Amino acid sequence: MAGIELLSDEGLRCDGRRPNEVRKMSCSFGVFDQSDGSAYVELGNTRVLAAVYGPHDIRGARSKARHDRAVINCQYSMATFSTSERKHRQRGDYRSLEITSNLREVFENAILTELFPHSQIDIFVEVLQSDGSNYSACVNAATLAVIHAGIPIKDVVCACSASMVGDHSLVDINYMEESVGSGPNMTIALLPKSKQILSMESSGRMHSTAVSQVMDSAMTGCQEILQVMKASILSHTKELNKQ
Amino acid sequence: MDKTIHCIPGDCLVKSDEWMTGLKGTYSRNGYIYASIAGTVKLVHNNDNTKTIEVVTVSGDGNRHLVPQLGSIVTCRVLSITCNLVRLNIHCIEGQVLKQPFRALLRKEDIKEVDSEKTQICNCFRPSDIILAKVIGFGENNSCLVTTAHNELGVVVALNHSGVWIPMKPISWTQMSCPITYACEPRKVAQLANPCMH
Repeated sequence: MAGIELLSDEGLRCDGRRPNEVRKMSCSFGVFDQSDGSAYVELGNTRVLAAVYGPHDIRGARSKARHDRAVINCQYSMATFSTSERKHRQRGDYRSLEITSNLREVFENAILTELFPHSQIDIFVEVLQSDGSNYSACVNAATLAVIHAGIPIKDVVCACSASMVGDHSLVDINYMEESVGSGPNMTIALLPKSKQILSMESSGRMHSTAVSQVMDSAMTGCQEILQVMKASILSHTKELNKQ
Repeated sequence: MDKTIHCIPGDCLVKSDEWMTGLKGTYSRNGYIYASIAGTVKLVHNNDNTKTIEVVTVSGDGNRHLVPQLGSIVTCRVLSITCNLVRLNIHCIEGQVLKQPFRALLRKEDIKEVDSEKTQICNCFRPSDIILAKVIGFGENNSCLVTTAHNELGVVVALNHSGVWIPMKPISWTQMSCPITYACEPRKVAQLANPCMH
């Protein structure tokens, strides 16, 4: 582990946070005019843009249309300048495809797709700066963009990541903890009101006794992120009301 | 000063019972009505003791999230015609303009109520006509199927291709004529209740 301590003796992480502290999060709505909904989320140093189009007529292959619900089309991509080394990424690389299909599953279950049969909703997410927890920042940004577009959704979907170092679980892991630490990572996306988990992905090896602890701390992190998202949605709605 | 209640998706609004109906922007689950969009809550008490609750958004263009539903009247533009089919682009649903058009198909047997084998499509519609139609389903290839087999459905605006693009006036239920050149063209004209143009 090359001398990098993920958790110091005083209980501080490598960026000075406590194990149960989520990074500073800020959100803004309506960054694009052309799309129906858009949002920009900063989770610490991770910056993500999301744009939502729809519901509209099915483009391309009409055979994938569903007669009773809308089809959700997601795309996740990372900008070439998003990591510390500039790297040209193909659109179809494995990690992007995995996150794309996870995002699609999350939103297929969260958006009320039965209201829009024979149509398609597009969700595009682009990571501008990547400092760990890309997937959770993308879920949060896509939720805000869907809400900004006015597409009916069951609840404000929020996501958070967690990891384990020794006996302590760390919430909202950054790039250093994700890559260098040999510990396991887990990201949970959930519907906060009903506490239903929409998606859970993890990598690395975790002892079975540690799973529930990491899951609990990820869910607690989700609630904290939810407060920030709720406050920003309410302030945006009130501002629109005044105009 | 009336207090406006702002809500975000997932907020529990009321307990649902037989007097309360949730309209646009809400969904019901487990006996409660929740909000599904961000906006302000509007509660309406009706005369017969029923109440409706809906969430109103403040976006300027109203509810643009429309998809063609069965039985809705749509305003379409004819893109192309073949001997059996008319291809259309749906631009408005029930009078609300869409941002992006939906594709639709009109089959020969759905153009008129009677004599459907004898209809010739070139005598009913031409490309670039604006027509009123009703959605009857979704065919193979998942595009919308529409019909004009009612008196009030059919061509509303048709352009005369005589050098100058002028909208033609209907002179009967099967003919339209250009006001400048007086040339007649066959169309299946819609019998509008109050024709407001010309």
